[in-house]
Order: sequence, then structure tokens, then C-alpha cells
Amino acid sequence: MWSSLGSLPAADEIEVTVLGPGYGETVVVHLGNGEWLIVDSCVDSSDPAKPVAPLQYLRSLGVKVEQAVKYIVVSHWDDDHVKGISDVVEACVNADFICSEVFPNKQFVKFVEAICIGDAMTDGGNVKNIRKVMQLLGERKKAIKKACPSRILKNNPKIISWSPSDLEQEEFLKFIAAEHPKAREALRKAMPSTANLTSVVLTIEWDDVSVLLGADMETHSNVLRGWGAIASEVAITGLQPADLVKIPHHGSANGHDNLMWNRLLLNNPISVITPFGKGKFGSQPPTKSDVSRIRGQSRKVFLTARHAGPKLPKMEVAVQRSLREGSITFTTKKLPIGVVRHRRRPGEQWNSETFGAAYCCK
Amino acid sequence: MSAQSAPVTSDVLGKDYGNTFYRPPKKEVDETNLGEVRGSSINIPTASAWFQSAPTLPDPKPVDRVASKELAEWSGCVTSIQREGAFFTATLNGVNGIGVKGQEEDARIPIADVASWDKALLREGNFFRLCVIQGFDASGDPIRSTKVVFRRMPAYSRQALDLALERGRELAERLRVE
Repeated sequence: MWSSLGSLPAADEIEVTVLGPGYGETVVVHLGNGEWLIVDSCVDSSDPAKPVAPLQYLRSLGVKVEQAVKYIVVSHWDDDHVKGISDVVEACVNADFICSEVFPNKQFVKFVEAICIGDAMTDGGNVKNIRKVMQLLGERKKAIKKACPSRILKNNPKIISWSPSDLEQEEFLKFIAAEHPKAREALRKAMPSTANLTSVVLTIEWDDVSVLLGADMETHSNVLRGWGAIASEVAITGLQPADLVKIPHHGSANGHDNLMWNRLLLNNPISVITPFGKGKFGSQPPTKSDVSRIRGQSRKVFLTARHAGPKLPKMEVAVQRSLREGSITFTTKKLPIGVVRHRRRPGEQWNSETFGAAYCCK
Repeated sequence: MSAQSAPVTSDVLGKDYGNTFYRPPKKEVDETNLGEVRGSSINIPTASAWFQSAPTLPDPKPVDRVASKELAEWSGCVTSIQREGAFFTATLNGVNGIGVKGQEEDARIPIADVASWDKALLREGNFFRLCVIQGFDASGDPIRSTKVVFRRMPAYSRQALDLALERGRELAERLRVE
């Protein structure tokens, strides 16, 4: 797939590309004039070399990431959004790093250091990844840009962050305090898991078009939280409604909020969904009803990959039978990656393309 | 046969999880002159003669146990626990077995497979071993079973935590936010 991605966009051609290997997602945006933005990171597990998807994509196009990537955004600390992010930060030496204020928070950095004790035994996982990011940023002495509601991170095109609120950051730090390792407690691997409400939601506004990158933001019964809070901010500060949306939280019902559709988007936008392939106990979004709901509100719908079904790797028949008899089910991690790319020249329509496992369902 | 290689009888053979081991016979001590000896400067060897030479291990006796072998083994880490309590999910790294070694998988495992004494260790981030074992019962019929054994990891020490917190503080001070 990587060799069939074609060439670079023209200087005045914008691009919004969503990559998803069925579990994990990343968005790569050509802001114009050879400047690129990367949101989150994932790896292509179907390739034994496990390349970091955003870097692999850009290098396949011939982009020199060291110079051309100007912004890296980490939306939140979930496993499916941060795999390979330290490689991205390491490679893109000229990029500004944007994240919620909790990452450079002293309490969080201390937590990361503490949970990495004994990482030879516990592997450290993606906490080790975040730790490396912090170390790189500490060495570079380049300021981290904090994302918060209604913050203009860049002009021309205008990149605005709409979350997370102080309330959500406070909730995250409470979670970190509760999870902090204690003396005499057994070593364990930290499971990156934050409330999706701490996600960084972005809009990017060019002169004649705008896109919404919904991260994993969710709806909430309290209108001061989740999409309700963002819609309130938008009502105050104003926004150019988006014509293309990276659907929040893998298209799940809890990521859906009519306030998002009515206030942040144009009617019938183009929607791109990244499935959460491994899911927890049969709730793998998007379900058929999720896709049907999104199709009803969009003029085009794309998915980056298909769900991973239960699949046993090639192993002894006796082992397979034992696992089956013991009701132990495996889901392979080697899902094929898919790419949904949208390019657009000023005054023209979006040009949609799919590569690899990605497909259009409307 | 001397005391060094006392005849092995059933009372000197112990069983420990199916393994035979050698238990030396008790040395009979002549206490007649002990009072005299304790009061003198005579140097008495502290090790008895039969302790000085390596005991000869007896031929192991056949033990009643089921021969078994591991067909596959994974090292796992708990990633989530179902609220209803029937299953947990885990990431698995293949350790042994055809088509297993070196492979990464996600798995859903019944909580019922966790032994009662391991239930307290069923927590996100904790490590375990998953094995598929093949054995034969007394009549020679093959039996297969899966086994989940949670690992007892070393603990965080106060000293290591303090050092980590200090490193974290220093790193956080180097980070600039705007």
C-alpha cells in the first residue's frame, strides 16, 4: 500500500488524511505550502517492522518530516492514540508539540517516572513512550503549546483547540493520583486510559473550508462537559462550520451529540470513521447502527479499516481446540491498515481516495 | 553398608510434589563421655562422618503422577475486566509453542479460569502466564487443559519511588508550557 500513495499535494492543495489500522488512529494534514500537522500516532501492526503510520505515510509521499512537520498534537493518553508518538516527536525536530496541559503537569510527569520503575519487567508500554516524549521535549527546551477551549494555536490556516476544559484536566489529575504506585505495591504496567473527555478537539479553518477533528470526545449529561461544553464555547466565540469531520470516538453512540452536528458542522459533511477494532466485550464501535446513524447525517462516509474478528493464529490443532473449549478467544493484532485521503484545491470539491483496508460505505 | 549410605527404606523417602528426595538417617550419639568432652579442649569435628561425603541418592521410585507437557505458553498482561465479571481481556506475547512464540495477540479469557487464590491479582496492568497443557490420565487417555497463573511481581520500594519522583520533578521543571 505504501508504494501506491502517489505524490505530494500542490502547495495550494490542502489534504486531510486519516490512517487507521483497525485499532488506533492518526490524522495527517497538509496545511498548505508544504507545512504538515500530525494528530496522534499509531503503528502498522500488519507489517513485521511495525512502521509508525504517520511517518511512513509522509515519507512515502516524499515529505521530509524533519523540516515539513510543523505541529504534532497528542489528543489524549489512550493506547490507540499514542503508539509510536515518541518516534514522531524524535523525527520531527522542528515541530511544535501541542497537548493538554496535563501532560507537562508535574504530577503527571512524576507518575510517569514512578510507573516506569522496573520497566525491564513490566515493559512500560506506552507510558515509556510518553516518558520519552517528555524527555525529548525537555532536552529541546522548546515550549509545549497547551490546548484549551477556544485557543487559536495558529493563524492562516486557523487551528483552534476546543478542549479540554480545566474541569476535565482536574478529573484526569485525580485519576492519576489514584493510580500512582505506592511503596510495597506489586509492579504493574500502567494502562493508558483517560476519560475521553480530556481529548483535544481541533478545527482547522482555511479561507473557504474547515475541518473538524473530533478525537475521542464524548457526549455528557452535564452540558458543561463533553460536546456540550464545546458547543457552548462555539456559541460564544464563533466558528466556520466544518465540511469534513473525523468522527469522534470511533463512531460510537457515546461520541455522538447533536450539538456537534448542528453547531460545528455544515449539513451533510463528509465523515471519516476509524474503527476501534479490538473493543471491549462486543461493543466494538462503530456498530451497524452507528454507521447507519452517521450515514444518515453525511453525504459520504469512509472507514479506515474493517473490524478484527476473532481469529486464531496458526498453531497446533490441540492448542486451538483447548483455547476454544476453554472459551478463550483471540483477536489478531495484525490488522491491515487503511488510509482515507481528502485533497482539495481552493474553490474546488474534495477529492476522496482510499488505500489499503479503507473503504467508502456511502 | 555404612551409615554414609544407609539402606534406603520407605521411611527415608519423602515426597515433595512428585519428586523423591533423600532424608539422612539419624546419627546415634554416644553421650557417655560428653560431659568430659565439653569441659576439655578436645577439638571435635562438627560435621558427622556421613555429612562429609555426598549422600548417594537412591534410584527414584516411580511416582503416581500424570506426565504432562506444555503445548503453548504466553506471557499476558490484563488490559480490562468485564463489569459483569465473566471475562477479562489481555495482551499476550507468545513464549513457547508452534506458531505461538514471538506472536502478539489480544485475548478474552474467562475469569473462571483464574484460581481463587489468584483472584485478588486480577487487576488491570498485572501479569500472568497462560499455558495449554497436555497430559494423560491414569488410563492413558489424553487430557488437555488451559491454566492461568498470575505472577507475583516484586514491589515498588520507597527508595525507588523517591528517586523516580525526584527525576519526575527535575524533568517537569525542564518542560516549558505556553
